[in-house]
Amino acid sequence: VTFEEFISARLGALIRYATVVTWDAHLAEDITQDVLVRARARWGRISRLDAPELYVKRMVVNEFLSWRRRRAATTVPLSGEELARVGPAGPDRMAELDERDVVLRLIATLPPKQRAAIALRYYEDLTDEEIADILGCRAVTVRSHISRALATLRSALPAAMTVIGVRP
Amino acid sequence: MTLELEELVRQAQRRQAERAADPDAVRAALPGAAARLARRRRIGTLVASAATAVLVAAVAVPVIVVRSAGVRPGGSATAAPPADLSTPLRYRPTWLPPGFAERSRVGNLRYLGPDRLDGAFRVYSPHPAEDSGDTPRPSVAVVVRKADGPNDPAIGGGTPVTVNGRPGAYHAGEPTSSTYVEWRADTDWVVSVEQRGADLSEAELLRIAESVRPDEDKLDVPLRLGWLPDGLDAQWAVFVGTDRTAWRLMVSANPRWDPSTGSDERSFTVEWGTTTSAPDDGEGLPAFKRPARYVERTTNGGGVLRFVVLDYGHQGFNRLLTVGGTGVSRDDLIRIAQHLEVLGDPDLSWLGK
Repeated sequence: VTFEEFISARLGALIRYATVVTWDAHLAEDITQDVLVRARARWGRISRLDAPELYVKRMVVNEFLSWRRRRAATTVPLSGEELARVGPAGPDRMAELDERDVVLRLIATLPPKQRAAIALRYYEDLTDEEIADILGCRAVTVRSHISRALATLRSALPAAMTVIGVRP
Repeated sequence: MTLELEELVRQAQRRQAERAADPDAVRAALPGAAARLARRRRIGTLVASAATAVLVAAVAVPVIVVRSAGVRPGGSATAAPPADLSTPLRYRPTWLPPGFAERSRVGNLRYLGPDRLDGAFRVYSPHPAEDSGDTPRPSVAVVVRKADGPNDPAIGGGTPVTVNGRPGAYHAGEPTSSTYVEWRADTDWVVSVEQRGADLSEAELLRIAESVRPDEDKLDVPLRLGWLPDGLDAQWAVFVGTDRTAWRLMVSANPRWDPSTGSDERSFTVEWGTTTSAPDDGEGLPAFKRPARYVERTTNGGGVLRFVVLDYGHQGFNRLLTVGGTGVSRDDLIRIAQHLEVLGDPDLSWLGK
């Protein structure tokens, strides 16, 4: 498959994937472009791999985590209490909010590796081993990331619902 | 609950995916992206380091010499003779739109490897710099970097222009990026004049570029690092200021570039100025001969930011020395501080002009 054929067939899915991994549509667009520029430069080698798309998706995750690392020092720490206060909404929008809105916001507060891990698990439906291969860690670490992410969401969800007034 | 939660996560992810950018727009933007990426890597490295420097802080020590205090460190420092960290700026604009003044200077202190900016830049803006807020302020940056071969800079997706008789290119900005003119200023150096949010026309940007002249001024760094953790080098010097009453000079140290090794997340920054990026609280450090404290914070990425802050303020003289870092131990931060020398305030005569 040529690079152009790959783009024609898979660009939309790749951008959606990047948007779920990064949880930021603008950042996803930026990262996808950067990754494709680099992938095109070495497409001769990538195209000979068994799973070129998986390789490109790994590039997206690596670029995202690298981007996050570069900005880690500027990240405002979020405590559990702050997590529970996410997204207080204005009164006029209160009725529009539901569990899905809250989950959407809570996922945005997860540490990047946890967010990438749940994207690969629940959006891409990959196994622990496949996720471990992409994240460059062991399967047990993947399970830890996913477990901690779910635990965070599970503990924060009721509080967040209360704070935004969705659930008394 | 777990199954229910997992389904909520899947629903949220599907909704998030619907927010993805239009593939056709992304595809249309790919031509010329290679040149932008190479350039962004150079500039981005510098900006990211500068941003890190703004946030990370540092410690001071009994060893520090402030202005004419003339206090020399005790005998504990190992240390090679402290190197001069001042950095040549090489070029400056001699014309800017009315109201623009120089607010910030950044210089790299050593070779950082391919695709990294090897030079300096200075930033001009019509308003004093501020440390907070997400809205980009209008600014013009003059960036000087080492040329990468005889054909650098490539025209890429830009429009060919000449600047003082030398070939270059004008790159029109996209909504999320800058507009810039880039040209080969001499045998070794490429210069670019870049605007962000300043709403300058191509003619105005070219006029600034045409006004650029060689300059012998330096980014003055009166700091001496007597000890660094193994494998770390001082790599960036950053000055950010509003006026003489509000400024910070920062030197950040990062892992030495080595393509054969894996990632190294350690970094620290020394800050000297009227403010600190460290949080307000923390434990006292009585070992220091002036008010000093240690404070740390855990980031949501799981990292730990550590800071040592020394207060040199007295009778209206407001100066703070901070050593802050990630991946560097508390003891190492304190040791860095103990072997630090501050020789005085940097040259501020250019600030706001």
